[in-house]
Amino acid sequence: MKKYRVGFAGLVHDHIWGQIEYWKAMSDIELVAAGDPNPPLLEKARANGVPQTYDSWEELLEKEELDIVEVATDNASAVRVVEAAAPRGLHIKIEKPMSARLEQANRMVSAAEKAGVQLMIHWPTAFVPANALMFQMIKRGDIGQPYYFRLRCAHAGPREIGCSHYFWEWLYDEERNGAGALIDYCCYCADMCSYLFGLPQSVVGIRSVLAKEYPVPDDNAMILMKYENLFGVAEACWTEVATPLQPNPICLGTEGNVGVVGAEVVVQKRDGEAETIDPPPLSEGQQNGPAYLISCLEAGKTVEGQCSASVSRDAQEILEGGLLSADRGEAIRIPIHPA
Amino acid sequence: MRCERNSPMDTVRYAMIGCGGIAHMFHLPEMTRIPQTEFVVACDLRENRARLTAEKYGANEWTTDYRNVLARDDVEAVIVATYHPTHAPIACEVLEAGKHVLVQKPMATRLEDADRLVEVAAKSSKKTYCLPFLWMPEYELAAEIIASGDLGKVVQLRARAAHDGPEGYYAGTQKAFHEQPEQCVFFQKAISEQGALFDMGVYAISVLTGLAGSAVRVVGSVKTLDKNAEVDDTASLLLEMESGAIAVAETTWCQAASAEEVAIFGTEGTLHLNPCHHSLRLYVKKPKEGWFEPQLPPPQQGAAHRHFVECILNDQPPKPSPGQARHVVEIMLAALQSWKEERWVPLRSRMP
Repeated sequence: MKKYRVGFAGLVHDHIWGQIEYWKAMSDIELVAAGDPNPPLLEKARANGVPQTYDSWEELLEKEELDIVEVATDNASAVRVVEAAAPRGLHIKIEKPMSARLEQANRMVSAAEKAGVQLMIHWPTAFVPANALMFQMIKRGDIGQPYYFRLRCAHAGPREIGCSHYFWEWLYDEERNGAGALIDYCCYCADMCSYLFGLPQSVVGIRSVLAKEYPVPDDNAMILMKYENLFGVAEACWTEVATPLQPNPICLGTEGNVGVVGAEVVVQKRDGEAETIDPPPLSEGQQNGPAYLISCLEAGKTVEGQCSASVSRDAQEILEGGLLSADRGEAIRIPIHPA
Repeated sequence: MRCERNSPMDTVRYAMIGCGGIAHMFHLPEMTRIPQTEFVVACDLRENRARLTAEKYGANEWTTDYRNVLARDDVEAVIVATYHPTHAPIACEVLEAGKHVLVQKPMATRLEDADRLVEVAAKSSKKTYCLPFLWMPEYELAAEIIASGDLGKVVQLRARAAHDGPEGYYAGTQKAFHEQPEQCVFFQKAISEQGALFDMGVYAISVLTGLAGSAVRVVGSVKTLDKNAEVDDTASLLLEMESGAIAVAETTWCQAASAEEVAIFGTEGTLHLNPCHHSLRLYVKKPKEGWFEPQLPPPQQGAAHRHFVECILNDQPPKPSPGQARHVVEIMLAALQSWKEERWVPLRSRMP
């Protein structure tokens, strides 16, 4: 197996530290360098096994020979990294969501396609065994025709749950994030719906600042996706104290319901008792983002499913529609045509 | 039951207009449990239903014309459980005939009918009680918890009321009356006008407005996804409440297993309520952080109808008020308008 040289462009998305641990655990991976303007983050990267650091991701790309670049900038900046890295022939892995706005996502997909490189968007929810089993059951028709899908993503807020200020500073910035909770937390449901059901016909959204006493773009949001034969509901909340132990995500079908409760899948068929299933572990090469990207590169296959550029780009279109709808007070038809 | 009325008649003599499934599964079993009631006359367009209902529940008389009920001096109250579009118009006539009225949900399928019922009810000295009744112990407790401030500021709510469709229930009703099977009337637009949103979504919206107050705008998806019906079988609504909270109301006739669920998310706590399981779970930060399951009184059989009879005997206003039920009708109609026009629709009424 080839040895892959990995660099890190930006360190301000807190998910990056977990990803570095996965990279370190893999053989035939060489952590090369990181580029970010924040000295404390560069120091943290060095302490976590990244030998070289630079003051910017531009310098990283300029000075190092890499095979893969992992992007952990703010949402709005990721497009510039992709447009710089793809022509260099680097494969790219980006923390969710891929961008702040749809126009940026389109540019990213275009740049990666033109360069013939992999563009993988890392969704942590794509590497949860219970989610994987639930999605298999939906796709093979275990609950009949699905007509409703919902995911609630909620916590007390980025600052309140202990995210670094490097992270929440841009999450609380409309331009750098794209919105507030609407982008940060409706995105997971948008990606799942995009993966399972494709693009909806239209979306409506609502977002508000309901509880935060410091400036945020929004702290509560919902997006309703309308498909031909299905509704999707994305609930996002940055002010949540506790989430009830109820199926989440949940999908309802004409022959039954399926959802994830904790680490288990709960399925209830028509006229049947609820059955709880312990999902099997994910297969090798599917267990985390870095492992999946390397398995695709080794097999010469394009990244597929929830983490693919096309599905993630469609998720971005759902988010864009939700954002426009919330701000305009009207339903937004998909595909979105530029104003 | 407490009775403070000094009336020569401390028994509520009532009639049933519309003797279909809901009369037999809900209204009459519950009313006949209340000692201070007397079933006087059964009325249905279908003679066999009126006759068999009178026989089964001990009414001495039956009729196929509701105007015969209105003309009677010995009927003090009327339960209206006819086809959905006729609820409000018949209820108005009942009030104008000087009788108390209990209106099966939905209150109306048209705003002008709801408005008229509110107007007639306001002018009448008789009681107007529009279902659904929500003040079971778990809802009472939820309302108390919200009012206490233990949840902090309520920012999001979700209510779901769903089952697998009315066709089995309707076929069972027909079988009970030894009738030839026919298409489920719930699926016929000419008869019912509206579908799952008005039939089941009314519960979810009533819960949301009952617990969180008025909504100021709504957007909805209302579709026929699976049933062979001329009306909608599934609906999801987003609501912006007057408080600013965001709410979602969900319903369907396609759900394999019946489900009612209410979740309320506040800045200081979370409340999850499952009426089907008679359960309420509460997470609060103070005084001790964690999940709690407050002890609930046992489920109360007949609470809705006892409330109606108590209001008559004790001269109290029923809850919800007609104005509250009208707000729910406006929300449902606005959701349909929103679906057609692909936009948020503002609501002009507020909860009284």
